[in-house]
Amino acid sequence: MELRRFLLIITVTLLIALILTVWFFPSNDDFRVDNPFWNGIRDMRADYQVQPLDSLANLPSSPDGATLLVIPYLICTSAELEHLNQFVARGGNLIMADDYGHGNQILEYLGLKVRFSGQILLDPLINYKNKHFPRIIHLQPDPLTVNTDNLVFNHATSLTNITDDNTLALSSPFSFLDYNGDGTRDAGEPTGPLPVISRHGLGSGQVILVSDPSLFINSMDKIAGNDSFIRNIVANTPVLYIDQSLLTSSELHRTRSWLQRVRSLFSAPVGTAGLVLAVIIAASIPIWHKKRKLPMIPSIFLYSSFLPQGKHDKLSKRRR
Amino acid sequence: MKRLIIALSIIAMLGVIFPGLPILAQPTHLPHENPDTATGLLDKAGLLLSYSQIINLATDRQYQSAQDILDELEHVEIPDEIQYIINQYSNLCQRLFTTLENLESLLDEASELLAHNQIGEVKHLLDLARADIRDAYTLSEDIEVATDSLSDKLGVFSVSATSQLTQAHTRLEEGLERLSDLVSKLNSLNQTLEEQYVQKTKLIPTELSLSINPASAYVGDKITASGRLSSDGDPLTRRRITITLEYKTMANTNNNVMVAATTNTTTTTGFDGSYVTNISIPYEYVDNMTLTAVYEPSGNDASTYLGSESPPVSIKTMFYRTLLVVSTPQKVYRGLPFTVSGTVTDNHDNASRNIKVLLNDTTLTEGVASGPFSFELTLPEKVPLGTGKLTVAVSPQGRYSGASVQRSVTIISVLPVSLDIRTPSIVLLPGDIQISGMVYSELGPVVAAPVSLYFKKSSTTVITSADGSFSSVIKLHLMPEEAPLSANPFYVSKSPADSSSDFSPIGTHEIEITVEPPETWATTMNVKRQVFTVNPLSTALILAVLIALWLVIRRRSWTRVYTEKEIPPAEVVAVPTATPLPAPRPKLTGIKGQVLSTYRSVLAIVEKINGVIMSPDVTLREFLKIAQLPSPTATTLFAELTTITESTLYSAYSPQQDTASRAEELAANIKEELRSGTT
Repeated sequence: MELRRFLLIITVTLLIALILTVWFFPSNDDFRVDNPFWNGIRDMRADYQVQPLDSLANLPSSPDGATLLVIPYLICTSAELEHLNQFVARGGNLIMADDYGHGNQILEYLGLKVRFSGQILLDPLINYKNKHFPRIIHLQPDPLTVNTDNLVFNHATSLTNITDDNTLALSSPFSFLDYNGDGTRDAGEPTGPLPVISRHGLGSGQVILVSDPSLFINSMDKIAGNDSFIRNIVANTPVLYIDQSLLTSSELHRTRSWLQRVRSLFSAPVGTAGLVLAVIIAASIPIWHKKRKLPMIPSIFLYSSFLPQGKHDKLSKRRR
Repeated sequence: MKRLIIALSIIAMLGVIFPGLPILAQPTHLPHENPDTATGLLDKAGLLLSYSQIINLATDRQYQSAQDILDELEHVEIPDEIQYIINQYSNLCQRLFTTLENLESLLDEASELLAHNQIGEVKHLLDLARADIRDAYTLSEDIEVATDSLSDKLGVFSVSATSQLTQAHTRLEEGLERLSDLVSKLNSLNQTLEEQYVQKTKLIPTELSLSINPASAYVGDKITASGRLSSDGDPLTRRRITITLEYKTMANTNNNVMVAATTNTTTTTGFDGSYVTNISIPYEYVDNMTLTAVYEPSGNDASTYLGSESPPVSIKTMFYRTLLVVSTPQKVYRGLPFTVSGTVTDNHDNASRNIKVLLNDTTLTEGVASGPFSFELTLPEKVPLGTGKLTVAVSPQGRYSGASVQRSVTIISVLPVSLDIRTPSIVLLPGDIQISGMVYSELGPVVAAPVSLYFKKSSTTVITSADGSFSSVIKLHLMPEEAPLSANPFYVSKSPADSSSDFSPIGTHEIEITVEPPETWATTMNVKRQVFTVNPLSTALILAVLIALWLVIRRRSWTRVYTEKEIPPAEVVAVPTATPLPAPRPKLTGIKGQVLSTYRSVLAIVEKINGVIMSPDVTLREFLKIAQLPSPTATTLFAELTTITESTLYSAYSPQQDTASRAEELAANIKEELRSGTT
């Protein structure tokens, strides 16, 4: 009896501890606006007036110059693709920042020829710390590059099938796409300058491609001219939406979402009433059980000669 | 019990594994790394490969590209210990590329002149080329030495050198060899041209003169150019003369960058070797132009005569100079009208002029004015934001020159609106929230702007007054009411699980205030404030439930304690919680029933004494072991009675009357023993 109680206490304590941990431990998912760590983008949310978006279905029907930042790490559904298409066609600005995700699926749907190469862009010389952080020094005059002399990317890729007119930024001549992953420039591997940011008119809106979403993360947004670049994005739009629906989710995130739903449910009148009722019922069970509890009868009294027939059968069943 | 432990263990493990693992472990394939923890190391192989790439460009005679890439090496973060040698190496490469580019240019020019029998400058050009070749050889040798030195510093020749580094060095060496070959090829070309020059000096020289009338003219007018072609004083008839007018012109009508331009006119010499032709002065508003006549031998003349060029003659050009004074704002809001004003005059008669206003080379407006002018403009919606180039340009018109003034303007999307708000810090739910504030911008109070106030799904909208102030109350209902969400451009719908009203006892919530100025040039403002909410109803409800729960638990606890205190271990007293069963007292028949009835009467007493009830799963023997009677005699007697009862119950033989009598006798003795033992 005592062991049972001990286990129960341990279980409940553990459960509460886990729930509290999940609830209060900050998100550490890549590119999440509620992630305060190096790989999140909470700083961007804190510094600028941005609107996180949990679903592309919530995009405004009349974008009217609004800007949407999408980091497509998940495959889009056809409905999501159409939402993006409508957003741009009606005058919205779509900033698609991708490196190894599913940006090309969106580009194909939008009917643009430009593509993300998906190969890692290395720059052994003009970089920040090492070749995985290429420094982008060739920036074309544009409202997005005002007061920006260079950008620093982090494990980036490049754009392909693009014209010079559309290109806003190029990597250095020393950069290259490391096709075989050996970290060195080999024959046949494209060398810089390679396009990394571009702007494309589409319908009434525009599509801006950035070949590295890590530009926006907390640990990168203050390096070199990244801050100015982000500020220019914000300055050029009445409202900046940041999509969170195409990002991968960790179990922590999913569990927290589930807990939030539960909390919301219990915050509602019906939920609150149900919870109160459940507590009342739980509190009443011992009392009710005590009243209905039959006296303990030794086995010898289970003989038919000691008990009425009906009661004997009932007790026999209970024993079994 | 086992099943309970297993179930709890599984739950505990799932609880740890599922939510816990993502906290402790990051995904293995990340699209980035933490720059704060990243280590920096110069990529030595990459550096050598980059120089190899630069030298390859030079060997392909793309000197400018090679130099541009060299310039970009300034951005490389080089360790201090090799910074000097890198600088020297880059400097040597830079000088070599400049020399080679200059050398090629000299040789091309010399070759072109030789092709047209114009040998006047060739000698000088070839002399310069020879000097450049010497420099190129010297620089090539210096670079080879510097390459060895740099490679040594980078550890190419050490035993620990990686294969990548060695390969990069090999590629650089190969590039340098090709560069050396290029210098040799240019040297050969120079020698060939020198030989051609010697051959051309044997041809007959010619002389060409040029004069103009008048010496000065307005743009658009014509002048007469004349001269004579001769060889050793003899006229050369029916020879083609090219007259070239050189002047500066603006590259673009909207900027002041001047570029060189030429206009060619051809004519033929007469019987006395003279020529006359009219030259039109183009509408280029510069102070002077230069005229030159050139004779280039062709056909049979190419193997007989040398070419000749007249001395250049300067023409003074005249025009009416336009003066433009402009006033423009420094900051322009997209959608908000602004004014560009100024004055256009000239040094003649202040004629009416066509004026254009352009933004980033796109015409905003156009008009005609003489003297002062003013334009009220509104930037189109699609104009890119940031720094723009606003140009006011007066088009050239005949003898009147054009003029333009360019200013940088900051183009701002919308006028920022400021919002001062006063909200309560604590809100009781349900109830009303009083919110007031003021909306203003750089231009003053924002009047008649709808201010929408949202608290969860309760909302209200109020219009700002003449001084920009507003005051309103959000009514919080017990049950949810639908808010006009479409009016809020910042609304982001939440999951269906989100409730519309809040029954949380206490918590923090957001009040959202959105201002939508009626003017398109003013920004929509959205502010959120946190308030502490208390719901007395749900708080009381939850407290009541908790108190009730507490009371129940306490009552059970008290009862248990009381029971434990009330049962003395060896006294026959009534135990409230272990009250003997209201056992059925059926009428017993037969000897078996008699024995069992006797045992039952004794059992009731024993249960009372011990405070222990014989539970259904306890056998008679087990109960005998559990039971503790105050006297050993009673224990012995009860053991015998238990044996008799057991035999009666489970034995295959029917008990006899003497068995029943013995049982009754034992029962009577036990009762007597207990009675005497307890008194």
